[in-house]
Amino acid sequence: MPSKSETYTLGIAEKPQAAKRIARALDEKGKPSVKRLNNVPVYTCTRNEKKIVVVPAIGHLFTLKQIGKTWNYPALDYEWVPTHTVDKTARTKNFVSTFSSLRKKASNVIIMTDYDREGEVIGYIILKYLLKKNQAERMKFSTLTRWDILEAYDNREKELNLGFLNSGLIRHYIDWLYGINYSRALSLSLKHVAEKFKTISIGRVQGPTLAFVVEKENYINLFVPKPYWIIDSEVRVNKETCPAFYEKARIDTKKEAQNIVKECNNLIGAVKDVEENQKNIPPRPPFNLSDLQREAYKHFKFSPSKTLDFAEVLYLKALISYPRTDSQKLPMTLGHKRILTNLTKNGSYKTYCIEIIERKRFKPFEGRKKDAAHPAIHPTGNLIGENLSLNEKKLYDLIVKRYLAVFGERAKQVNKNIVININSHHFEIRGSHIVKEGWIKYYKTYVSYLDIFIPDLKLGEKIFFNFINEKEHFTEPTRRFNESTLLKMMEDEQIGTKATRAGIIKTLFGRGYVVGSVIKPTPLGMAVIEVLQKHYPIIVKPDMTRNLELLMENVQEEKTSVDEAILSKKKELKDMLLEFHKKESEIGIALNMNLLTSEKKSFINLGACPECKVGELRIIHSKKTGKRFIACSSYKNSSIKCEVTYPLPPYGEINRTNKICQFDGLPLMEWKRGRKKEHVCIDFHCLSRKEVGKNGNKTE
Amino acid sequence: MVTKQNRILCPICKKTKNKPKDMYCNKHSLAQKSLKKGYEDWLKAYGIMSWDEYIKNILDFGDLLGILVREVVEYELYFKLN
Repeated sequence: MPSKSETYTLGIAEKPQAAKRIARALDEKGKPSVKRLNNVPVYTCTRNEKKIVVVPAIGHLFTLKQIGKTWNYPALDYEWVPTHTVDKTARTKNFVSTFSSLRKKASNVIIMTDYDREGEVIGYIILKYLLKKNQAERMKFSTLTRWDILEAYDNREKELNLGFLNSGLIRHYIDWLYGINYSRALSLSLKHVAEKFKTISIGRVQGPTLAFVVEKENYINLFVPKPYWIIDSEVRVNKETCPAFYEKARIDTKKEAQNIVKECNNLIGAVKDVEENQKNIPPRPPFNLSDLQREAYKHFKFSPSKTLDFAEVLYLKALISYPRTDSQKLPMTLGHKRILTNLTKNGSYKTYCIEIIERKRFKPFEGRKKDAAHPAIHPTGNLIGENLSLNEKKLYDLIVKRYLAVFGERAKQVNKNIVININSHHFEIRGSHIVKEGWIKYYKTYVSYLDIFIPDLKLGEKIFFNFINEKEHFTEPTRRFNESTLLKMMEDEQIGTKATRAGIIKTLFGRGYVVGSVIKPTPLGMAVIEVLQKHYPIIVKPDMTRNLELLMENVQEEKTSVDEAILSKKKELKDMLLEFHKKESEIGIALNMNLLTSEKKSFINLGACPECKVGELRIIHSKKTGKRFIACSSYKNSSIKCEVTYPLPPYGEINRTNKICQFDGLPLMEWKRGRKKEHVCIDFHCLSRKEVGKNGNKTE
Repeated sequence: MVTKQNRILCPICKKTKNKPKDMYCNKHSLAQKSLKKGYEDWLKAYGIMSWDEYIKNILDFGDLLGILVREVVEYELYFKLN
């Protein structure tokens, strides 16, 4: 720490780990002194004979709070307050005190938070409310590597990026205004009608996202499979067999399918046409956050929020660039030769990197999407240490291989289609194979192009079919969303941002609106959307939130001022809430009815209670611990007050079976874990279960 | 017994019907429509098929058949048998 009279430059970092890396890079000797102030690490470094004190935040230290204490709507006035004053679980108090205590000696301030909207807001709020200043310098970096940080320090901006800052601020204000007012309006509508309080949370992005899931479920619930037929056939060419595809992929009637088979019953056709073409397959574009989240889900089944967490760890360890980016661009200024040279030190990538370096072609293949703040996600070239988890290593490997692939040449694929005529019906033999691997070589683990046998045939040549049959099939309902496809849907519908989408999905799970890896809405989620779609559709339609995104973009591009935008939105919201108020009792009644039905639906009745013989055994979720157990419904009946309970495993789906255990006569329940289904007695001590291991597996 | 309440509630889910003369609530009415439309498709596909045969077939579909449609089918079958 500098002496008491000495002034210094104060640097605001976003996280403790980032502060450590920045301080290490800025200190001329690479060894900044560290002192703990209120248990917060404060780094002091010397650069060009100047003292720089780098202090970390821990994300947002402030949050928005309503001015006034009424719990009503509309609530349109807010202020920034330290997070720990409203959220007792927040661990931000010490960070607030540290910044406040370092304020007086700070001659100037440099904001060193991540260069994006949130980073700008975090820095600005600390600057304004804790350091009592209005202007600061700004360091912009995309990686936490030494050279990037030094370059960012040397070329730091003299002031904050107003576009980013305003767009970040307005996002906070709008999310707060819409979230708090609609959640209150819904909760109060229920309270006024049913005289019971239940928090019903909805937000401007949460609503439409949940509506996507519910709409899909409604479609699936109404689905009736429809029959169709395909013509299944196989040809014999040069002692090899391969499938042939009929010209129509689907045939709607049985009669038509039977006629085709009948007309082709001689099983001898002739080659009518041979089409051959070569296709160039360009590399996949570099990763932006959404593409990375989708690819990580596809290969490792990481949820989007998990992928973001792992990527954040890799970024803080200076192994990859900033992950919250929309960009699919990798500018030449990043120094690809240097990155590739550094990557050669890692044995797994050495051969590929050397190959690329020797080819001397460092212009990467890029996608269309741009991001003004950061390039696409790429490795920094730093060596990975031993302290990475297996999942972080997997994600790192995916990022590096994708990065290498963008320097690869286009792959070449030959496609060949042979059309066979048999009694005026056309069949096709389709084949393809890769003739030049190109970029696929580098990305092989994560991409596959099948080589399909292509027979060599001449026009008019006779072809013998092994069989031609009609095969009955039935249509299937559309697939439910998983976290990756839901994220894609949000992206396609332009709701939320790259940084918030994964969090919104996590919130839907947290609120109990959706469940499962194949996402299904819960009765509660269905009930809320059903009521809103009927009585107040605006909040569950993507148009409103899409318009808000546009407005926020206008603010970022400084076409509209924050005050002007907020004022217009407050007015709009006030009118909308007035409309809501008129329908409040109608909405409250519908919500209450739907919630009652949903509560009934969510009760899983496992059978009659063996003790009191009156109540039924139900699955109860403890409000305190969140754990589930089986209890008798007569517990609430004061004359019986049956206290029988059975513990339940914490995971897996439990369903009723209507069967009785032959050992103790208690009901059997269906316990479903992934694809595994088991009928087990509800009593853990039952002889039928003998010893149930800690992991819940039955052991004999 | 047909009570006044029975006339306004869906016999399957006990939710209020849109109109008392409707057979089911909004959702189950849609399911019934989908069931009828499904029969038309099946009839067109097979050329000949009785309603009972159609019902028997679709009940074998497990999770592929929409839950609301299944509820309507099971309700109608139950009342036919009783």
